[in-house]
Amino acid sequence: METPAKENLLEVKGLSLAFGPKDKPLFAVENLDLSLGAGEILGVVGESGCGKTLSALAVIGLLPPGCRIEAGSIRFLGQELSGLRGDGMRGLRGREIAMIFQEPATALNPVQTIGAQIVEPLLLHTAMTMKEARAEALSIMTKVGFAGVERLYGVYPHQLSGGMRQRAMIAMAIACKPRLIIADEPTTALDATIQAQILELLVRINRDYGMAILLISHDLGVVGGLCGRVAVMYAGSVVEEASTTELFRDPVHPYTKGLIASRPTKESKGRPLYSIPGAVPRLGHKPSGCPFMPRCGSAVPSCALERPDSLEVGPGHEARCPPEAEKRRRVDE
Amino acid sequence: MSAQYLIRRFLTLIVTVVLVSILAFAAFNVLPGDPALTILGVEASPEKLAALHARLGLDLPLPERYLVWVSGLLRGDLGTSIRFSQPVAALLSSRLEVTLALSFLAFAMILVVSLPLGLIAARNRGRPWDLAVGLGTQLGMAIPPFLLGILLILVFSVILRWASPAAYVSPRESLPGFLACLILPAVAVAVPKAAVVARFLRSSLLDQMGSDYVRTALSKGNTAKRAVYRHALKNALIPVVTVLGVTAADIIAGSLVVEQVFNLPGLGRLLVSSIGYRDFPLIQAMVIYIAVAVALINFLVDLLYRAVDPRIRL
Repeated sequence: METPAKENLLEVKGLSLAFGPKDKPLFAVENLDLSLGAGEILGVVGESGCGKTLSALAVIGLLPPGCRIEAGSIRFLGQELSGLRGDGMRGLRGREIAMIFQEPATALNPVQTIGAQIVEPLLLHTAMTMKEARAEALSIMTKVGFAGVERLYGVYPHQLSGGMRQRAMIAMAIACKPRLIIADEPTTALDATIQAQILELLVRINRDYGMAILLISHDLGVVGGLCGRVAVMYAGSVVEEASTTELFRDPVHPYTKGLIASRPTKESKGRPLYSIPGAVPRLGHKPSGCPFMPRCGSAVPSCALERPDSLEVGPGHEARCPPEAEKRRRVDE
Repeated sequence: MSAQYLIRRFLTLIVTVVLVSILAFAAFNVLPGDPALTILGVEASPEKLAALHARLGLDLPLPERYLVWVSGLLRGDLGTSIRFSQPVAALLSSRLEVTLALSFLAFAMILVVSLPLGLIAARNRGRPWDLAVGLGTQLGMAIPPFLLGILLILVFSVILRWASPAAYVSPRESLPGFLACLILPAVAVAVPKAAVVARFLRSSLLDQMGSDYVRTALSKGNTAKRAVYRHALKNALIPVVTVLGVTAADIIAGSLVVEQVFNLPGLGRLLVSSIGYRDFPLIQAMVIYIAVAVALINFLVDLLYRAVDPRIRL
């Protein structure tokens, strides 16, 4: 932690999310730690099914039916969110914490105009009149890159392209100037050229308004270009966390190494891409030791014994791989 | 709405009516049975039969009879009933006012009852209210209309004595009396249909409540209630409009069983008895009425679709 004195904007500690019966819980997220300072962009990377979306939904209090917080805490601005019910959480949603979803085609109400959907958080959380809210919505729409906002205010989602829909989604999210925006795969459903524009917009919002962004993606490239820090998730926990430059320069966890190696680069052009053998363990079929062990090329017998702890391997750099951390320490000494 | 759409719609209506009239004409003439024989009795002499055939126009070949009838129709002449020897238009108009009034009353009841029930059930999914609505609608669908009609008469006329059973009041005698005598029949028509619509709305609403945009609405700070009313409900109504259209088309054709039980002079009973008598002019006119009514309802359904779903262009 760079600034231990000041409390972080978001502090997730030991969070476990589970499905299934109380006495035999199936853990989708296990012992998750994340922290995010005000105005920071943190990337969370992992394969689908690693629990990154569930973790985000837990923060905003919208876990799907059947999923519950089994243990741990989520603190936002010093306030505990995990036990918060009803109005407390509702007051934060849209006002202090907003979310951008993956699929703008389905995340927008098809029978409501874009404008009506953007003014809604303003009407819910501020004392603005409809007229003031409309004026504010128009200025936000201009901010996120709509041209001809007066006309587009009254159009329906199906009349917009995917990229414009995602801009509308972003406009809704930033309407009340929340301190935290959770962006869950915000560019996955979009064309490559549009992807870059949307990512650029997110950076601009972060810079201009100082909103912190929790960016969730399966794409290390997307995260690398945008975030100061990256947390790599595997099978429900963070396996490595470091600054982006550090992570790319010196990955420690074998899973992170695999992810970096499987990215297409100039050097790898024309050759088959590396891919990590095997697949993510299914819920309820996680090995009792390190969840990555069955796919790991450098596993040692002790990996099968217990869940590995996260160990510091450098300043602000942690990895959940004791054998690798041990190797580093010996090299350092 | 474009002019092109209206023209297309109107042409569809014409084609539908023409096809239905040809089919009905052909079907009833292929059926065994001779109206002249019904009128004169089986003992009638061949000469008398031939004379009556000529008077009724039944001696002409089938296509010619059809054309004679259509040209009358275009002049606004629906012909004369074989059985009653009265103009079909006059016979139908008194029946039509009963059926239309009953349909509007029943349809209003369906709307007023089914929409709140569907909403209550969906919002309380799995809880006592949902189970109660589920049970009630199941019952409403399972009771045959004639039994429901008899039960209503038993309770309200015989036990409570709020209404006299089987007493039809014509609207020219007393309009309030006319509407009052239609209330119980309308309930009998509405209950099973309202049950279907309520169940349909419940499942449609549950579908929508689990959708992404409802989650978005919640992420903006909407209450669960507001997310349902402001976001899910309008989307959930889109398929319900279809069901309401089918329901309306169904009841506007007349409800034979309910008319029979409550002794109402509606279209359903007239239609069935006319088929028995081979009263072709009357049957033809009623078939045309049903075809036009259904086409008009479909047109209204289209307009309603457009009102709830901006993705639909007419």
